[in-house]
Amino acid sequence: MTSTPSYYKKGAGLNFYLWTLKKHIGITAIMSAIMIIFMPANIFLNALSYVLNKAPLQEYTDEFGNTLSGYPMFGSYLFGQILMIVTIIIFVIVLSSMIFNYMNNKQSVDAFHSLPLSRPVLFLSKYFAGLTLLLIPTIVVLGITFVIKVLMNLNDITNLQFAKFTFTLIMLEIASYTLSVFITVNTGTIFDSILSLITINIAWPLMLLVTNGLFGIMLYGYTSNIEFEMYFLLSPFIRIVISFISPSLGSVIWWLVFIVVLFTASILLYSRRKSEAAGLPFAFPPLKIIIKVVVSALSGIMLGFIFIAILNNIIAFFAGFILGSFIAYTIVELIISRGFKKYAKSLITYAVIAAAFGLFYCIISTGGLGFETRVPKTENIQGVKIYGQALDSFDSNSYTSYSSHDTILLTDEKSIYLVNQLHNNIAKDVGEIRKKTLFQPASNYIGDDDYETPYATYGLFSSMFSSLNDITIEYHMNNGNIIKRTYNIQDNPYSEIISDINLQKDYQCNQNTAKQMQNAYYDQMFYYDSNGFDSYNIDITKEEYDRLNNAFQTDLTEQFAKDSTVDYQTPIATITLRSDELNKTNKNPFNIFLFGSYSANDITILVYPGYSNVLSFLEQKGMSSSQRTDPSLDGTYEILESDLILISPDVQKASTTGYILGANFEPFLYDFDIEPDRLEELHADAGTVKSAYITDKTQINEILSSAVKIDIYDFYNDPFSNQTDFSGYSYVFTYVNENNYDDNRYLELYLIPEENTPEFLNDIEYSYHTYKNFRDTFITTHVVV
Amino acid sequence: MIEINSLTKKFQGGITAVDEMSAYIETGSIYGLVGSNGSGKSTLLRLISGVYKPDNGIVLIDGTSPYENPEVKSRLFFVSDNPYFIHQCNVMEMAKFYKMAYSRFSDERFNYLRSVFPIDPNMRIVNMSKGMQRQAALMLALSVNPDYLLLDEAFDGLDPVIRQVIKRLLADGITEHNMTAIISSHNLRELEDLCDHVGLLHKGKFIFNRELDDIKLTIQKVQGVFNPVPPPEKLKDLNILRITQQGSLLNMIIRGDREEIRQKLNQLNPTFLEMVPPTLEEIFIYELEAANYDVNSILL
Repeated sequence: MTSTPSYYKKGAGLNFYLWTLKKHIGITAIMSAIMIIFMPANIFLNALSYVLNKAPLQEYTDEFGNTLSGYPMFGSYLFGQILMIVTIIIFVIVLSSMIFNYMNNKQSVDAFHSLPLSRPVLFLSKYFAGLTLLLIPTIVVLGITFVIKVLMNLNDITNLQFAKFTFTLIMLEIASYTLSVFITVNTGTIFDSILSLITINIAWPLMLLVTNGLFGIMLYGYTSNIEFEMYFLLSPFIRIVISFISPSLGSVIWWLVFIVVLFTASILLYSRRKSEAAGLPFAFPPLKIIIKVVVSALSGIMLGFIFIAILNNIIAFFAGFILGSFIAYTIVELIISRGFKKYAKSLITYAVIAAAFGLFYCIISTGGLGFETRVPKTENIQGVKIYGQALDSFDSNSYTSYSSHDTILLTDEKSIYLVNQLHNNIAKDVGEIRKKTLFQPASNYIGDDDYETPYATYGLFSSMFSSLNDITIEYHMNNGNIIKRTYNIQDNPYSEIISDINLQKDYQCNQNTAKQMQNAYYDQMFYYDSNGFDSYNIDITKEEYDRLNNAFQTDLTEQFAKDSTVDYQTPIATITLRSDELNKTNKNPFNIFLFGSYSANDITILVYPGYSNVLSFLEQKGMSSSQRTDPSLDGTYEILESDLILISPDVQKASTTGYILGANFEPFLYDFDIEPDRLEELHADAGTVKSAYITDKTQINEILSSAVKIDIYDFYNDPFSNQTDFSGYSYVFTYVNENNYDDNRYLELYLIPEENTPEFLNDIEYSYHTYKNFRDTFITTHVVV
Repeated sequence: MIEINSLTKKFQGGITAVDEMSAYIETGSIYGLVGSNGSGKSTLLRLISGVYKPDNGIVLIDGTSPYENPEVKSRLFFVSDNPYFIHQCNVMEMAKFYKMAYSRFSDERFNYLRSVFPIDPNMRIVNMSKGMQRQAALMLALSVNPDYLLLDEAFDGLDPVIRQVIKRLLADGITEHNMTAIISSHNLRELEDLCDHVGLLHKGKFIFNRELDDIKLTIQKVQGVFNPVPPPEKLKDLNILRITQQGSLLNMIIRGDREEIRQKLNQLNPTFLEMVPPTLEEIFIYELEAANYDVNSILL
């Protein structure tokens, strides 16, 4: 054999990378333009609008922060962000299809695979070119957004938060692109690629959800431990839509591993991919089988649920499963095989799916291999949590706030024993019920004679909703495992032991919401007096918070040490603690995504007379045990005095002046900048209110004489429902007619015409407040009592 | 030198496109692959060019397998039956594309070929006719100066003038750098005056694989007038592939040496005797008939 010269061109891979970049740069330009419109331009124009309207930019910075941190869902900026992410998703699919489409066409395969390039080099040059083309717009857009943030001082979101969002978005973009490329390598046509992407990104999470629901329906005690993110661990296209929710460290590691594994698998598969696979539905069989299984199982279980809801028996469920899965399987097979040629042979796969489901059903409908009756031994338990609304009905003094806070872990021996005993009793009853209901779904209630009532849908959405009769026992085992069971129970069989649990001092002490203060720093405190009338809002520093926390813990411990019947005393005040930051991060991200909310994680704690340390703290913050004045419009006022009433500084100030229009007159004066072109804004989402505190009776009378009564409004509804034209008016205020004094729901709405506006109103020092939801804020903040 | 040994390629659905195929193609030759549609010509070319991986057997180009071997691939160029051009590109852009992959791409040769082929290199290829696209593909392929040029249905859609140009260019390639060309076609006449070797494919197998000159020298087409017409036993010394009689005129296809055949026939005292070279198509027909193949199913 004679040796032959080498003509292999070194650096061809890099050349191909650059060539691919150049070839598709137009796509990137289009993508960048669209993304700029949706994100930085949107933010800039809105911020500019605030500046031009001389409205406080603070409100806008709130919006900016909310946008990137995930709520409110339908805020215009988040809407822009969602559109930007949708743009990314579309272009991930478009670019990966365009760059790797040569694999799906026989002519282009001939051309590319006969080139003097190895498959890995060809793949790498294409992969990284696509990735570069995708990341350039994202980085540019986020860079511009950051510059706008800095230049316009939009500091509600910190640089760290912005960096987190940027990292999350880019990481998920790479994951989405890599998945798309992986699927392209596995398939032979764009159609089959998209079909596969839909299956993995939509059908797979749905299948997890319905399977989880099936567990909940079938198994007594089952409660979903699946974290929100778990549903989307294979579905970056869905996860990226909510990339404003920062992933946990574990999740970040997962996505990085996901990218590396899919990338490596793509190279290996591409190296083994047969050129003749171009134009065939799938280049490798596994993905085809996965699609068939996922779509069939999902359709089967879903139709089973529908049938069971309509016909309410287990035969209907199976009929629904078979019908749904068979139809779905047939359709998928028809699509994948492009006809019925291989249909008869492929039915073997369907038979395996149906048999596997049958086996699965047998397992979960007969106790889940002991799942229902297995109770941990006390010696293996480190601690236990017990919570749920069934428990609260027995608990007259836990004052839990029905929130998603972590319940405190009970580690004392007696509590562990009692909770374990309760679980044993429930499990024993479950075992008896199961014997009579083999192959049936779990009954609605345990302890109910009517246990044959099946098919509670409770389990399906157990992570989102709770039942009035639920009780959850959560074991923290010595080996670090967590075992969690949730039951719907009737109270009678278990009332005695539940009462015993409630009577445990540790339980009472630990279940008190003040214990939750130890978990985090809440920077806002809302103080309410014993009547709940005097609401006083103060910000507290970390140092103050620590002092308050220590005060509560000390008082609680001392109180429970000497008397467990503290609950029968009357609280003298209520404190609500809040952290907007925590509300953004602590809540169930799915709920944030759907609803958005500020208040679900507030802690409300009752203050009892014996809480000497807490009372001392409150007095240091300005609250004092003094008289309170409730005046009326005619100048008379009632003086209330009690040692048990702590009065906030605002009320103290008003009382000493003697002219607060407290009971009968709204003490705040509002200027809504009433202009026709802002009306829509007032009725929509945002508003800037300036207010002043009027204490001079002469001024009050002058205001009243200059005002025009417009309407009586029901503050439960829109205060401006009957007033659409505010032109010509400068101020609005509300007034409670004496006839309606006892029913403070109805307030009279007054407007001050511009020409009658008292001079002194121009000289008053106003404070400004901006609100996201103007109407709600108006109603809740300024109710007159 | 291309060596093909027991080469097999199967496709989904149990189709065996290339079945235990063996051949040997000399360097510096023009090899014609002939066969009807589905006979395995394109698959064989894709196997040689390293696009397909053999299921069995081997293809060796100068002793090395081309599959996943950029070294080997840098020395060959494959023009498929339906040439691929990158979307919206013109010939100049395609030239840049190939230039970054092939070290032997020659600007000088490309510019020369631009003057030879009557096509506008700045015109988008998608807007060209089928024949112009094929010219573009050949222009690019020849610019690469490959050692091995694989052309699948290369002359499909080309007018006679361009065909002659291409023949000349191929001949130049062989002369200048000992290029080897494999040209497939389902039309025998296209290859007759171009190839020095011909392989006939049928259902994934070679049923005929020989040097063209050798074939032409060993088969003779004879017309003779005999009076009287000799009886069959007097012709039994001749290896007659086909014989037809019209009165005293005998038309015969005879395998063997030209002079030897003439001598034997002269002994039968023909009134008139003429020996003409058969066309390639005739040779194939007679050979296939002799081998008991259904000619109509092989040559369309």
